[in-house]
Amino acid sequence: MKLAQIAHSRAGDKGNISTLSLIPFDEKDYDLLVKEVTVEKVKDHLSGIVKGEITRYEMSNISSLLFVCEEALESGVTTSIASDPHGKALSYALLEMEI
Amino acid sequence: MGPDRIQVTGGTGNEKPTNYKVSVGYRAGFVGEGEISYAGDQALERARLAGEIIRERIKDFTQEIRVDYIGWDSVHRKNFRPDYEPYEVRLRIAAKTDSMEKASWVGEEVEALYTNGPAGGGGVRKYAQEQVGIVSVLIPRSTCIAKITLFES
Repeated sequence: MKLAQIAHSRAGDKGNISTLSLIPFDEKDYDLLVKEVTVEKVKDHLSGIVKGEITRYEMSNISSLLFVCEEALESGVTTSIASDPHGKALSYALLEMEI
Repeated sequence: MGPDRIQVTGGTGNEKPTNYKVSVGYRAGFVGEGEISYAGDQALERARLAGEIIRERIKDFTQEIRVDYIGWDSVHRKNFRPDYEPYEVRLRIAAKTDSMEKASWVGEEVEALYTNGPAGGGGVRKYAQEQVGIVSVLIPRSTCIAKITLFES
């Protein structure tokens, strides 16, 4: 199944970094996300989009994951020539991942 | 304590930061863009051919080129569900240049596809603008003097 079926996501930006949250609709699915949505799998899934390192933060107190993706915005918000320079839509790229 | 008076205790604080965070704007060159639509039979293939033609024609006067197929891969910069044939595609070319004039050439090249490109291209739009980049730095508070300058036209 796709992540979109059990979780939602929002994207933030700072310089050339994109931050992607991953929040299960049902808190009971948090452990499944921790187990399945590893840094390696996200790197593979977002290959070609995220060109730098990815760090995952587990925030069990709010049942959420945060992925900090470096070199993800084609040089950064102000100088990118992409059509979505903030990468706001990348949240749904993460949700396309199969688990 | 009395009418309209309360006592508060236990307040604490930290020294104010020694540095300011400053967002510095700088002239980051120019961006030229052009868009054109293809629809119907082999729309994506025609858009791809047009994109390659433009890429070849602008590569010698641009520093960076982006070719997007709107409706296919422009937003995520990748298509996670590529197993279908889109009915219509909008080609978008964006490129960085070192002058406003060269930025405007990008759109001109796209417009030329009307008569010198794959069949049935329509709806050209073209844009050119200066780009201002922003970088964040820290500077010591002690070096800053607060003052206001009003610019009027």
